[in-house]
Amino acid sequence: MSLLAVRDLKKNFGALKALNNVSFDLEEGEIVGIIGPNGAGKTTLFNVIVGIYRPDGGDVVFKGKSVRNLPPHRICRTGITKTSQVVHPFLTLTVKENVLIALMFGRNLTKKASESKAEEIMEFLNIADVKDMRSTQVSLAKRRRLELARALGTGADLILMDENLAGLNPRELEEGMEIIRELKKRGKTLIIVEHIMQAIMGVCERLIVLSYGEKIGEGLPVEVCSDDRVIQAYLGEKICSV
Amino acid sequence: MRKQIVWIAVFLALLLVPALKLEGYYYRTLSMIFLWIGLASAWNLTSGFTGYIDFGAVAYFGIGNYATALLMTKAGLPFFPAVVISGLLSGAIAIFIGKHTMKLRGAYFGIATLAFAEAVSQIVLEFDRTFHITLFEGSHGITLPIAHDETFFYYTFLVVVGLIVFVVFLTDRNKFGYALKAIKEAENSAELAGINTQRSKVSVYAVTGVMIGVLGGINAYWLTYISPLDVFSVTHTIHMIIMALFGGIGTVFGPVIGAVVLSIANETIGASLLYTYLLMLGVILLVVVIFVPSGFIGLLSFRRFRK
Repeated sequence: MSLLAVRDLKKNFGALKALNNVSFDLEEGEIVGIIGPNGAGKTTLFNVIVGIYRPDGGDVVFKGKSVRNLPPHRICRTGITKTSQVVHPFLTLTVKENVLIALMFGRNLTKKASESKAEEIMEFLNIADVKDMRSTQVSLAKRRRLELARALGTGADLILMDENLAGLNPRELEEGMEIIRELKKRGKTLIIVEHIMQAIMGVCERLIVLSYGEKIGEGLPVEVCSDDRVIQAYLGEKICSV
Repeated sequence: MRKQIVWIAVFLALLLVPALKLEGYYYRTLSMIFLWIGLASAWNLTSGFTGYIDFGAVAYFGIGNYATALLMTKAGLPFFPAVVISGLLSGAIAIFIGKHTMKLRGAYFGIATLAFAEAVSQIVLEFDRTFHITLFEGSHGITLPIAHDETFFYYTFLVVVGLIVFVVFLTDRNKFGYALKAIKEAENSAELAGINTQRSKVSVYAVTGVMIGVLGGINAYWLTYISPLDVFSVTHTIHMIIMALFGGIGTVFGPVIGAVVLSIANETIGASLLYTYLLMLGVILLVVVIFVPSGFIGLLSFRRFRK
């Protein structure tokens, strides 16, 4: 049985079909990338899976149970959360408090029990040096890490990363990719939305291509990026060969 | 930690004040200050911590007033049980109202709560005339039995308000408080972190409702006469908001300081020069919102931070 099964998912905004019968499966421990042009429905797909939007049709089955129509906090506790493209930390709280909140509520721990785990997560993501700073005061790269730290804090098995690597310099990007590989070793399953093909090709084991709300391709990264439809819809040029 | 000791010392000192055998005026003034500390703190617990600015908080004050008045005069209950029931009733109504209004964000929540408070006021005012019965007594108001001396209310307010501030203090550092602060900062992120935002919001709103309801109940017995236009007056809500803003919204002791300063200003300037006082309130509100959005407390911690 797959960890996540997305079945014929539909989401409309008025007349716009943001998602139109999107289906795919995800195995435990996989890293899957989702690519596609702006407006393809990538972020909408994430928001439907985590429960921020309600789907207009189809189903999301996680660990064998439908999570459709559950509110985000319930879905989070069953094991799915996401990092947002536009970072939304709890601004006036410190970095550490941000992580503590995810631990306390995502895993239903006491504040005391969360402390050591928060330290561990911040250490792992290399943000321990700014733990007592307000999240408004830290750099974009660290705020993106903070988003990830919160996602890890909730204890979710499946993390949806929405452009978590955007806007980073080459060194930060390399670090980010290393963290993703490390997360896989720790048993996490990841879906990554990203425009940086270097990052996508570097960490993803499988790609799904969306365009205008429909899935137009799926497969190994090298296969997908040499597919003519994908090149036409998104890549624009051939960036790899089989 | 030192700060907490100061506040505890202040509380203990206030417990001993009646030993000085002061004139009644001082007890009345101090009781009034306590009442406002309680109201501003209770308001702050919901609105300061979650960022849902309640413009209808006076509804629970009025409900508390009327519930206690009716329970004492019509049901013949003693004061303390009447106040407890009033608080619970006020909290129950807050759960119902909160469930529906706290799905609204920003100004819409403010408008909905303001409308609710006005509606309750009108119901109490017009109910008897509409249904041809005698319950709320309409604009005549209700007169309560006179039984106790000034120190009784002094202590009742002091203990209840001390408890309210203590609850706010605890909430500021416990898990539930973190849920509220997370909601204030980024509600979607709070959900994604596993917080049941709706339940947290409605819970804290209910607690605020109980607190304000209890204060209303004590107020009714203290004043011995209540009328709808007085106890449901929107200026009470505005006072709670300004006091909390002035002292520091979302902090524990900010609303306490705001309530003390503005109650004294109201008592001194407001009594003799009403319009000067109202003008002053307006100016204070503008200055605080534009220049020191974190209030008096924020000003203090900013200075400490710079050193």
